[in-house]
Amino acid sequence: MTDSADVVVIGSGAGGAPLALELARAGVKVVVLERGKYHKREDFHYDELGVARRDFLVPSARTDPHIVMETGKAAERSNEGWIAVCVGGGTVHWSGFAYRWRPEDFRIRDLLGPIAGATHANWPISYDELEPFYTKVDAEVGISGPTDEGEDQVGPRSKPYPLPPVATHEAAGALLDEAAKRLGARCTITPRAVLSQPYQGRQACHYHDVCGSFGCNVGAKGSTMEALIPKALATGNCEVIAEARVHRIETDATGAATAVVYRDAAGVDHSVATRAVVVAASAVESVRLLLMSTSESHPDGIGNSDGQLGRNFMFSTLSKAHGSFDYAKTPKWREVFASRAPFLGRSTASYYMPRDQKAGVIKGGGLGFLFPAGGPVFQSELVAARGEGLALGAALKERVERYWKGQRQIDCETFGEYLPNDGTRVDLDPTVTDSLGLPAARVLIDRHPQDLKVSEYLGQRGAEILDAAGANDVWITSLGGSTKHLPMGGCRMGDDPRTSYVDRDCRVHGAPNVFVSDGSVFPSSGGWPPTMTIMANSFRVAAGLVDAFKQRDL
Amino acid sequence: MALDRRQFLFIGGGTLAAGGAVVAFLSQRDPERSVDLTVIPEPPPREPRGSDLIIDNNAVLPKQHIATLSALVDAIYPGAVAAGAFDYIMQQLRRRDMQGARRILMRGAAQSHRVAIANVNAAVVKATPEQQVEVLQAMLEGAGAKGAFSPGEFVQFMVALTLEGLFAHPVYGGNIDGAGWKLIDYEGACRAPTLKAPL
Repeated sequence: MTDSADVVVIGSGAGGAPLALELARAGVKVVVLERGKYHKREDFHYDELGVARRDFLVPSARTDPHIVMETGKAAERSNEGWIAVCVGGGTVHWSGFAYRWRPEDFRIRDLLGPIAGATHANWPISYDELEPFYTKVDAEVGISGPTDEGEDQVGPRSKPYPLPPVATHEAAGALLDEAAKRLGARCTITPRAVLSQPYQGRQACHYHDVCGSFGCNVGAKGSTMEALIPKALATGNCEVIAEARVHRIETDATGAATAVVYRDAAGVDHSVATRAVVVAASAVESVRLLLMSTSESHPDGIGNSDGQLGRNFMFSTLSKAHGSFDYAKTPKWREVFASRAPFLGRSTASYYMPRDQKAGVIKGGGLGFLFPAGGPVFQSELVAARGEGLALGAALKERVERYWKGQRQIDCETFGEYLPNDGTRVDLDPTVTDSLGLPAARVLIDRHPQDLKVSEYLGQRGAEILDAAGANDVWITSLGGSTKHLPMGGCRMGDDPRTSYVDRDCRVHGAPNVFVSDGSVFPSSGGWPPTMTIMANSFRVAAGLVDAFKQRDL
Repeated sequence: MALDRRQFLFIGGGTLAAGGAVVAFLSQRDPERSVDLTVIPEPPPREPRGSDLIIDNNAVLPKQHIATLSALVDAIYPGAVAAGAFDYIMQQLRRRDMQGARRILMRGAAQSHRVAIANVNAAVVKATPEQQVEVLQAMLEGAGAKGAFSPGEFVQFMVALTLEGLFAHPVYGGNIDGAGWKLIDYEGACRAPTLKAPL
């Protein structure tokens, strides 16, 4: 068993794998420790119950919980905040919506100014500094995207997408495009980390009706397991150790990390000595590990002398609009939606910066349109609960069967900033432990009222577009919601150690060879989901680490 | 995509894997909620798989509860029993991690019987489908509460199990020969032809 490495990377998902690849390419010996299993493509069945409704990809809340405490609600033992535990992490079951953030996302403090009760901050880096690394993600992962986005929709691009967009439902897409246009907005095809053509030895998408929630059994989805880790392994400089539960980072008297301790599937502890550690275990678990790794030099957790670790935690602020296109009410919909093409794939950033003083919304966010995700059980559950109350008996049967056979539904998901605040943070639960007997992470959640305004604003815009598209019924759900599967913050990046946890290179203030490279370093939560930005930042951190090794700074 | 996927995972993780913790999966409660801290049973030594069934079919539930719960499944979704939904539930209740759920269903069966007698003057199994739905609606509104038992959560749990028994893959014991999928003309990927046994 490997007992030393130049760099130990904890986590193999969006935050860990890009960095591991770049270090390995530069000749740095890397060990990636991944808590979950190393699945093969053939392990990924489209088994709704087994994969998406059991513990195939996330730990059980019974054995390895997060304790979630929302203001005004009872504490809950939960699996919220886990993304996925396997080689590839959350990129295994993501939908592959490959949104870049916009330049505004990196300077939110400048845009919004001070807001009482919020701790929002600018990033210490700009979109321009990250752009080359977004482009690198495009190329390495294989992003399929449109050619007509334009800077009204995304920030400046140095290169076009390497692949044309995936096939979408043309008639439904046209409905939305025209509806948005009538409202003064513009939809474009959603960029996807899903291969529209064979790419780098991987097969193109075979267009199943489910994508998110499941691993891809042909490797067309751009998980790090498919797109990055094989390249890292091929260098000969990278080893991935699966089913390795890291529970401690050892540090010496100077505060530097010396080794990483993990427990294998047989319950045996191993130590890997290292020159540098990169923590990329996803936001909640990264904070937890760093808090648990106390020592004489770091009595409150690594680099936590200023108490910044776990603070400024965030999710995305969410709302959803839905539109149903009923064949009985409007017979032409049967023809319009006759194609079973699974991807609707339309997005708009036309409401990203509304500067709407009347609505009280300066910065909005992105809207993504899609056919309802999930398998038949999940979709039927949502249908059962739609409206005023739970349908039962003949009403339930009629509602479910009409949903599947007599209509088509389009959903719109909106993503706005989750304003960080003192009430939203991660710490260690004082009583609840995990299956190793270690403290469970406790996620404290408090919502800023501004988030609800943004959520309402964006949900209404989505509903307007669906209404303009001709939907027979339009409704809004999840107002002021938060996407617990998109955790960010807790290890804020910044130049001032008193208000941030890592520096602009994502090096922990006060721990010279400990780095963090997942979403936990984000100072803001953006107007689109963070996965592309996590990967781009990981490549950026890797570049800095490679330089540090060359300069013998590590 | 994003939210749906996570809701999906939360809902499912809670519904079945929580083993006894009834999870909010419907609109009456926050759909993203997961497991109530106070009702978690002792964790099993590891996540059981199909081979870890601990009780035989005859010992899953008392006969009277089988009849009551079967009737409720058909009341929730007419035709669900013929499609295998109750077979699925019985199969699931044999799992080690479902023993908490089994206790909830037993309590729910007993309480639904009491609510039925009180509200429609007939046992669940003797009531008409409309009366059975009336009983379920009454329980959703709180009828039959007893101690820590929540009748509303019981009904929600039964709906979730019924829909799983109708539309989940047949390897789990329900949806016999794809009967549930035929009801909704489902031809999608979750038919998973390569799946030969529960994961």
